[in-house]
Amino acid sequence: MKRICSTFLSVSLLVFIVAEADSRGRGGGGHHERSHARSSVNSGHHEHRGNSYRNSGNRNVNINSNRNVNVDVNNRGYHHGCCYHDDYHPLAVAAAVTATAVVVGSIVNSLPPSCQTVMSNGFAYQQCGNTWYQPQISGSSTTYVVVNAP
Amino acid sequence: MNTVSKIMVAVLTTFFVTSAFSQSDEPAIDSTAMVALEKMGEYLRTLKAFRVTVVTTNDTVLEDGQKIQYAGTADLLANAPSGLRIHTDNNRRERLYLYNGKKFTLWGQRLDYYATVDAPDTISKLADMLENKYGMDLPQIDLFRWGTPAVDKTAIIGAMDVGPAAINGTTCQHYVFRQDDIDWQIWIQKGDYPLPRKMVITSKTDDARPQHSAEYQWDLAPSFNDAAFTFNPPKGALRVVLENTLSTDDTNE
Repeated sequence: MKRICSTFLSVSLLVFIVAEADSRGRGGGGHHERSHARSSVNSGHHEHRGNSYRNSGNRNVNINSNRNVNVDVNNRGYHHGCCYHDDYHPLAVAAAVTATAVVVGSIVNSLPPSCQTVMSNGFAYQQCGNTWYQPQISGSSTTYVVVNAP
Repeated sequence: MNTVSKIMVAVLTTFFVTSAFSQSDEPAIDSTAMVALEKMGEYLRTLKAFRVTVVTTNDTVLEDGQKIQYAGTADLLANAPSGLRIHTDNNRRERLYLYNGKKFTLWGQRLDYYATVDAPDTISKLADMLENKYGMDLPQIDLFRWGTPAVDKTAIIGAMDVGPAAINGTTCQHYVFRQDDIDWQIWIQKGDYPLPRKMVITSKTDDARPQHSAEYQWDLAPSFNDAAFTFNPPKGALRVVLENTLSTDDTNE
């Protein structure tokens, strides 16, 4: 009886170890944020939903441009491709943005190269080639909305 | 059944019944913890002008579950009900929040961008507007919500008095609370000034259990003038839009 018990235990342990190792190997996604700690008790914590959404890559139109812009930053080993929500936007070092037209209303985390600041009605816009962006600021990030020329 | 048997049955039944209760998963709510929280909230709401400097840490969770901790500071000056100035910096983003009872401005100095919107006439209403209309949390919002109806008391499903602890040399009492999405801890200064001196919030919505911590140093007699709450755009500062993260969520869900 004792031998059966100890065998059973060893087998269970082995199964457990294998299972653990397997789950650890899985899901090695990379450096995008999936969530962050809530910073207040008494709030609707909307910002957290907003943030984790922003990094899920659901914006089909701009996925390519964002990925390309950040590759060089990854290689320089500083931002590691994560944590867009900072004041240090990755430099747009290469002409990585494709020539395809971007849809008005889509939102990007950083600007393509060669943009000019243009004021209209007291608000600043960024004109980058044929595309106009309106910067918007929140407590945790800065993003740019594609708009029609003001 | 004879008397002895009846007594035995009664005892055993009581034993099993009470065992069943003690094995239940419902956590206990220590009333001393709830009372202390109330007292702290009441006291905070008596403050008119105060300055609090906060040292924070906040965990970000990457897709693979790794946590990265960012340290930050918040320097908050309040002149209730309609003056607020909060400077936050976590080495990745720096912001200045200004409110003078009429306008709310968010300034990102490193970016040279600022956004200004019309604001209601109290800090409390401002916090509600930012949350409901823009999806933005005012930093240190809890300091303004404790002791108001904005606190959801039913959210607390467990409360415990851990005992005394010193925070930065000041004797505090340490309490822990459980809610559905978060466990949180607070260290309340003992004595005549029941101020929060430290708070830790553990988020349970992610298996990595990221934490936020804050340690508070209080100045209950700050010196300032009204200019502290009004934004004067420095040369080169560009006006942009205050981001509405709520509409961002809506368009994609």
